[in-house]
Amino acid sequence: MSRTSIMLWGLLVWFLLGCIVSYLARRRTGPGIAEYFIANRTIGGFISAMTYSATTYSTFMMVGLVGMTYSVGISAMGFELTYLMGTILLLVLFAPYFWTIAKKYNCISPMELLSKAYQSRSLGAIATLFSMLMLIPYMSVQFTGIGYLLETLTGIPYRVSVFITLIIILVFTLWAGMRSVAWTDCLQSIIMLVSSLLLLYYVMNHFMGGVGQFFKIIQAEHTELLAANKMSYQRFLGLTVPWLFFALTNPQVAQRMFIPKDQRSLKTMIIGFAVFGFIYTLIVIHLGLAARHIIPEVNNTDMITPLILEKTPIMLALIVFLGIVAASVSTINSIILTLSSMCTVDLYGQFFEVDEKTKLMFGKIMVPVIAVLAFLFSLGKFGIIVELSVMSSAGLLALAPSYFGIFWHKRDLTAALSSIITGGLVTVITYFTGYYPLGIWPGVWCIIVSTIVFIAISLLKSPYKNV
Amino acid sequence: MDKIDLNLIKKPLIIFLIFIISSLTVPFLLPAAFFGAYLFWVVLSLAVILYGLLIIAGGEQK
Repeated sequence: MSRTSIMLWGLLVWFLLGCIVSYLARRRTGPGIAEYFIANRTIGGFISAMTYSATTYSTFMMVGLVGMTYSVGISAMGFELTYLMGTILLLVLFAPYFWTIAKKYNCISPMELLSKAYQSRSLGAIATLFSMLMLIPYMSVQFTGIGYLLETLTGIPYRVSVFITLIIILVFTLWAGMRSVAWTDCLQSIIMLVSSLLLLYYVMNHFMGGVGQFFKIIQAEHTELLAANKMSYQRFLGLTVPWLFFALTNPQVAQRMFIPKDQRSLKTMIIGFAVFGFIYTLIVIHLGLAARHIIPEVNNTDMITPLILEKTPIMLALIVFLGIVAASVSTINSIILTLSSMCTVDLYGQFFEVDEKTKLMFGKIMVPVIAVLAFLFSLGKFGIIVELSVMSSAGLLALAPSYFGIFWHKRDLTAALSSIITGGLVTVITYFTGYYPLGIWPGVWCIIVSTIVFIAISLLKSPYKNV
Repeated sequence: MDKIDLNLIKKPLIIFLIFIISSLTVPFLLPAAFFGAYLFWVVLSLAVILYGLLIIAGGEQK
C-alpha cells in the first residue's frame, strides 16, 4: 500500500471514530440554546480540560512552534511558557468568578457577560462583530494549514483538501453543538499528545542517540539555540503580551469557563489544562531543537515538521499527521460554535423578539455560514490571510480592559466601547503601516492604548451604579 | 453584577505577576546553557503550576 493510501485510510478511520463520538454526544444532547452552545453547563472536569487544551493549541504548535524553535531556539519556549503562566493566572484567579456569574445570570456567550455587566446590548453586539472580524481570518489559516498538509502528504489538491476539512468540521460541530465539540476535542487532544510524544521518542532515540546525548549535542554544537535573546526582545514581548490575555480575549476559550458542571470540574479543567500545556509545549520545543541537528539549513521553517515526517516510518508519520489535523479541527470547530453562539445571543437574540426554538434554528444556520466564510477566505491569497490572522491575536487584546472592568466599580460603557474601537484601530494602523513607535509591536500598543482609554474615560464619567 | 472580593486575590495576583515579570526578564540575563535560561523557564513554569494548584486546593478548603 502506498504512503498516500495509508494516509487517506488513516484519515478516514480517524473521521469515522470522530463521527461515532459525535453521534454518542448527540444522543445525550437535549433541547435549547444553552444545551447546544454550552452543553447546559454539564461537562465534567476531564472533558472540560481536554476541550480547553484542544481549543487552545492548534496547528501552530506542531508546525509553527517547532519551526520557530528551530529558528530562534529556547526563546520560543519562553514565549509559549510565559503564555501558559498568564493563562494559569487568569484561570486560577478569575475563572471561578466568571463561572459563577455566567451561571447566575444565565450567560451563554462571553459577550453576553459583557452586555449584562455594562447593561448594554450594543456592547455585546459590537464586541461580537469585532471578534468575528478578527477570528474569521485566524480560522481560515487553520483551514489553509490542513489544506497544505493534506496536499503535501496525500497529493489531494489544495481546494479539495480544504473542502474535506469543511465537511469534517461541519459534521463534528453541527450535529450536537458543544457536547459533540467537547467530546471530539477530548479525542483530538489525546491524539495530539500521544502522537507528538511518540514522535519525540522516535526522534530522540533514532536521530539523537538518546535523551542524554541530545542535551550534550545541543549544548556543544548548537549553543546559540540556548540563548534567551536569540529572538529580539521587542519581538519576544510583541508575541508574548497578546498571548498573556488569550484566555480572556479569545471568546472560544473564554466560553469554556462556562461549561464545567460545577466548581470542582472547573478546577479539574484548570489543572488538566496546565499539565497538558506544560507537557505539550516541552515536547514541541524539544522537537524543534532536535530538528536543528537532524535537518540543518532549512529556510522555510514551516516545513520542518513535514521534513521530519518524511524521515519517519509511515505509521508514525500517519499518527503525527492525524495529531496535527486533530489540533486544527478542534480549534476551528470551537471557534465556529462560539462565534455562532455570539451571533445568536448577542446579535439576533438581542435585537429580535423570538422564541428559543427560532434562536436555536438561527444558531444552527450560523454554524455552516461561518464555516463557509472561513472556507472561502482560505481559498484567497494566503499571504494576506496570514497577515490578518497574526494581526487578529493582537487586535482581540482591545477586549481585555472591558473584561477586567467587570471587577471595577467605576467601569463605564462609553469607556468600554471607546477602548475596543481605539485598541482595534491602533492595531490595524500600526500593523498595516509597519510603523512600530519605539520599536514596540502592535499588540503591546493595543493593550497600552485601550487600557489608558478605558481608565481615563471611566474616571471622567460619573461612577457606575452597580445592580 | 456580583462583586469580586479583590482582597482575596490580591496576594496571589502579586505573586503570579512576580512570576510572569521574572519570566519576561530574568532569562535574558542568564547564560546560553541548559542550566541557564532553559532551566529557569522550565522550573518557573512548574512553580506557577504548583502555586496555581495550591491556590485551587486552598479555595476548596474554604
